[in-house]
Amino acid sequence: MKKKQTLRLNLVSLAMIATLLMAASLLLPWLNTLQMEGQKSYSAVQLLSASFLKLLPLVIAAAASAAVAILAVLRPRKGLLIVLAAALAASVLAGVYALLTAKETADATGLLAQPFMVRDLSLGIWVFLGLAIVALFLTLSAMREPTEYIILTVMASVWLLPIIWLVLTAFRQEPGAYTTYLLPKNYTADNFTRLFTETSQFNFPRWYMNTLVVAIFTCALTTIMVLMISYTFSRLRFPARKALMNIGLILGMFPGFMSMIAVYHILKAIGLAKSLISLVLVYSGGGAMGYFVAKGFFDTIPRSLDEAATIDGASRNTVFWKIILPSSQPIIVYTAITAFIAPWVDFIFVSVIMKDDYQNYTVALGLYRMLEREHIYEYFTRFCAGAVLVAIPITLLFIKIQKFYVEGVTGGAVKG
Amino acid sequence: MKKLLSLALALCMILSVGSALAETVALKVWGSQEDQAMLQEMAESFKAANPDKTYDITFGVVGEPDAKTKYLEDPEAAADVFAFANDQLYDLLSADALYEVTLNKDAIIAANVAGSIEAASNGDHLYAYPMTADNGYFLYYDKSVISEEQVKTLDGILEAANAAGKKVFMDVSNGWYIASFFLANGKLGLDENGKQTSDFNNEAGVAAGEAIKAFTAHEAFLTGDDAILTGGMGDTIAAGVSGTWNADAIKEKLGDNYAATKLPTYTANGEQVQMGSFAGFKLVGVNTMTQYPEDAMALAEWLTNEENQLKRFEMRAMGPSNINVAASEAVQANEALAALALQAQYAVSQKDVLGNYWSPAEAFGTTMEAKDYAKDVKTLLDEMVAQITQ
Amino acid sequence: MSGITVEQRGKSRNREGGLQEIARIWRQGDAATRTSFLVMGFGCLKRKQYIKGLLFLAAQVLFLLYMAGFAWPYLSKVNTLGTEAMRREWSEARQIFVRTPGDNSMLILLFSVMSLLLAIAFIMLWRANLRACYKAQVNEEKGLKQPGFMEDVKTLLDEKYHVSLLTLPSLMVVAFTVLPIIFMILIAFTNFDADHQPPGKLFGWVGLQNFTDVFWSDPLKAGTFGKILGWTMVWAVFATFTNYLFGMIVALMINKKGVRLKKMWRTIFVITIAVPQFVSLMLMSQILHDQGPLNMLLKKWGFISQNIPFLTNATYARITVIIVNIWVGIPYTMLITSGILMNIPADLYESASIDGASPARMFFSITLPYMLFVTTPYLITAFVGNINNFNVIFLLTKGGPLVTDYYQAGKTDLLVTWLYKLTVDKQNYSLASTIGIFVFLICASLSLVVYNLSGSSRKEEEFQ
Repeated sequence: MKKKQTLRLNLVSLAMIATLLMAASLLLPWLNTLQMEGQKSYSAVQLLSASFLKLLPLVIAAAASAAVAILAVLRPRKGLLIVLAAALAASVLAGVYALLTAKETADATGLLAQPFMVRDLSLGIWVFLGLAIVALFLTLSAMREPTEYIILTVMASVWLLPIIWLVLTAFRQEPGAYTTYLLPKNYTADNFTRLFTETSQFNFPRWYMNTLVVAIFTCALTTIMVLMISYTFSRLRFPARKALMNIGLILGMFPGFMSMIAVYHILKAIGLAKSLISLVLVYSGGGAMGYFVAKGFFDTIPRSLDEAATIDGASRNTVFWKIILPSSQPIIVYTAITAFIAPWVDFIFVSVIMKDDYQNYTVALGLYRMLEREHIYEYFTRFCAGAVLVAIPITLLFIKIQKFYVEGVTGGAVKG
Repeated sequence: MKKLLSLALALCMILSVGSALAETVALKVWGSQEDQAMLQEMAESFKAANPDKTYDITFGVVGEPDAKTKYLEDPEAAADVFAFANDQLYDLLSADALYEVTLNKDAIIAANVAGSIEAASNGDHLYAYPMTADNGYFLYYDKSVISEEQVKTLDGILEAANAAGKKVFMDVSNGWYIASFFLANGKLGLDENGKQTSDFNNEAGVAAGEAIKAFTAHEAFLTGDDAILTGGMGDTIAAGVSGTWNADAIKEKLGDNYAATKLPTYTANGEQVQMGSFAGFKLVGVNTMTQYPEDAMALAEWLTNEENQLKRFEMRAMGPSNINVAASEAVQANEALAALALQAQYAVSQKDVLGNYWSPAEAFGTTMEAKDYAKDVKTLLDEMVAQITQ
Repeated sequence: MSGITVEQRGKSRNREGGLQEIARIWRQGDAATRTSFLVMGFGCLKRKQYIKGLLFLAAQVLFLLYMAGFAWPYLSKVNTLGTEAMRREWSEARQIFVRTPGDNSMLILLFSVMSLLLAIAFIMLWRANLRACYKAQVNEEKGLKQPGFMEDVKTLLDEKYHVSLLTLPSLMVVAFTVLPIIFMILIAFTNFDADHQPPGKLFGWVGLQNFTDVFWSDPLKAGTFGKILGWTMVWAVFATFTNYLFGMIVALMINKKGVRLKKMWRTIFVITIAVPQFVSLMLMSQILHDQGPLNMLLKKWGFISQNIPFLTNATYARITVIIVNIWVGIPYTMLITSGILMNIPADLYESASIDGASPARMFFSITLPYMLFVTTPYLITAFVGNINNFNVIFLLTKGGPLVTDYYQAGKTDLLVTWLYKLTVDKQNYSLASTIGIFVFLICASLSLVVYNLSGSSRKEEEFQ
């Protein structure tokens, strides 16, 4: 049985007052100008004639909010309040839009003698924005809806905007990294096609295949090794166990960059330098050190299961294959996917191992090279396109493993 | 019997020639990304010119500025033949990286301008093949914004650009460019132990430092990478310091307003001082570790011969060090190279600049650009020189 | 029956040290067993365990051949790391200088370390050989049947299963982690830098010179080290705790009762982690560039008239990297804390709200202490991770802005990015290794202490 939620009527009235005040603030001074006869101020309504398109949404949203607010007080219904919240959200957006286009508005009016700066804005717009948010807050509270939506929306846009910019730039026709505008003037899919067709300087398709191959083998090797190590440490008891575990922990503490030069020379000594095999070895060698997560998982599989099997005469090998592995599907998926992702994101080890051998680069290093000073102008948009192509599979995989990811990182430590 | 012997000898010779024929000479060449296509053409012509041997020539992408660093990462894995900027010569020599040029030495010396040979030599020993003579910088400007009179002084340029609401570009946070201020009345040298000396913190140096401070603090000052200059020239930028490699891009953006000249003078203690610059050469060296020294030398010589220097000029607009190519009409008519030649009289050789110079100089430039005035110019320069000369 | 005795013997063996065991085998062994001290597998061969015996013998022969044929030329020079530099002689016939390779200090050191590790492995094998031969002797004395080779192999799937499982991973870890680390630790005691670069030049032992340089005697390096260490710590503290706190707050907001579309909110944040970090960081460095879109927008909106040097002014850059790190890191902490937050017993909150506690109070008196208690190990991992947070710094600022009183470093450089630059750009391997050792000491001591104090090591047995 769902309990019917009642509206908080006093808050509805408060929201109405805030909304009306907000609408009234359109009459407050919005822009201060220095002129011959001294300072002069203009309200939003006065500016409307000069910059119609920039301010019209604002006036409409404010008027609509005010109207709905009055209605809501007269006939408090949840539906009306939802409309009010939407109108107020629209007002906030319109207000922000007005704020960001204030420079153009000011320039269009020709009222300012000096170049426009935000200090020339007057009280009105800030009061408007402030009251709009307060009213929205009150409306949500009146509906007994969480006001967190406001903050979450703001945060979500801060987090998503750069990603959206990346995607848009990937479709931008004009080259160059430092444009004076944000949205592309012309859209094209050329950046993607050129990544795959113009391969004489940056062989993106080849790098993509390299990365894929390395990722698949790394994934297989790492998963096998991690499962072997973690099962051993979790289930088997032998003299050197504790010591080996501590050594594993300590080795993980050395900064990887310190030893990468030595790793390169070892690979060279065994004749594997500059090869994709060496990347697989290095990534799986590193990946094998991350056995703690899987061990934590195995620790949680009830011991009684394998004890029962042992009594039935199963060897430890059988227990591993028949009992442990079948019940560790989540951790296998997690280990495999993390191992699979590693080669897509590393650009340091590849650069140390591959040096000048362009054919054996992976995408991460290739993309990194595209942003070096001599290439950035021509390749920035293609970098964005390549980044999107790398991000898509990883994003999909990551969304799949996020559940295990949490268990993974926090490990056995927080399962108390 | 004798006949038989000579026959056997002949057979032996044929066999040995035969085996030489069969042997593939594997050589690796380093060049910048943009040069790859051109280098490939040159390598093909090299193979065609030497049909008696089988060459397997591969390429690695390492630009001239990075050659030393990439070389030192692993000399054995480095290219047999690589291009580098001539300021790396001493550092490369101290790592024993360069094969001394002994084949056709006199011909090479005769074919290239004296400065380039000097830049590639240590004493009487020649260590590299001169490839270009254009590794320097000068001023590009927009004729419609800056007049010929204004372009003579930095103050004039800044004023004109500012009046037009445009910027003056120079990558001050880069030891190579920032040196132009100091070199006006200062010197980077080497002492008898081969250590770097510098007088950039004396009175003239401090005046140069103050001039940098004033320049970077100016409203019209703009800094950044080359991409910013090529992107903004004509739109937001009225003048910029750069080298020949940007000539085409800038010409395209400026059209009829394209102009290039020597660097301007700047104001030091109330007087006008002509900015100096580095005169650099790009050289081709042969790796000491190479398995086939003769072949590598032949290839290096081929890449830098008259024909290929001309090709380099035609394809990539690089200024030749070869005397004949430099005297050709096409080269003489190139505005950017003319500007470089104009600046050349104030330029100093980059050979005596060691690897220690760059980071501290960049640090000083960065501090100025960031308008971080916590320490005065003199202190900063003292710290800079201390690091350069350590 | 026999299983028990084996176990008991195993236990008694554990109590005695490795050397005592060997001594006992020597005392109690017969001639064949004693011969196995010199000729591996002899005891086994004599007692008809041919395959096993031959394997031991083959291992010994191979090892000796390796030592004599390959390793000795390097091992014999490890005390000086080589004396003969590369030479060149004029060849009149070829008209060039012909190169004669000299000693390669780096290979000498590398192969010596490798041989050392192999020798350790060999000694372990030798001990296994003694045990096996002795066991064969005991079996013979007791009149037991000697286990065949296949039976021995079978134990690898059961009693000695750990050996089979750990062999491959250990080999990988030894080759690509242990060996390089030992090598680089030793490098810290040499003068391996750009001026002493093999194969052209030699490098040699310099003792503690690099350590004294970095810690006090070279004012420039010591000063730089101190300042970078200071900033590394400040960075690690801020980066860890801002992320932790804000991430938790976001998680609380999303998980709050009544908030709809929980999955959508979470996914929005997850997308930003799923985009590979180097992409999002390089993107950020472009956005925050002096001439980048953010400055352009702020100017266009009239908020600023001069570009803000987000990444080129020391103070701005330090603030910027911390803020960008929040942008990068919050989604992670949000994900991780979400799960734990839901586990907080609800009655705690109920009784608190009956007492009329405000949400802020509940956060500080219930949520935060609980979270801190449960996630301490995670926090430490995150802290250590931030000390080593190469990507954020390197991709955003490359450690810059450079300053004149730092040695090859800038204001936002962490110890690891400095180490990286010294290695890759300056080839100053010895100095880099010295710093690496120091970073390791900080991280390792922090982690070991906390790991052992925290629940995870103690709780381990509880689950089982």
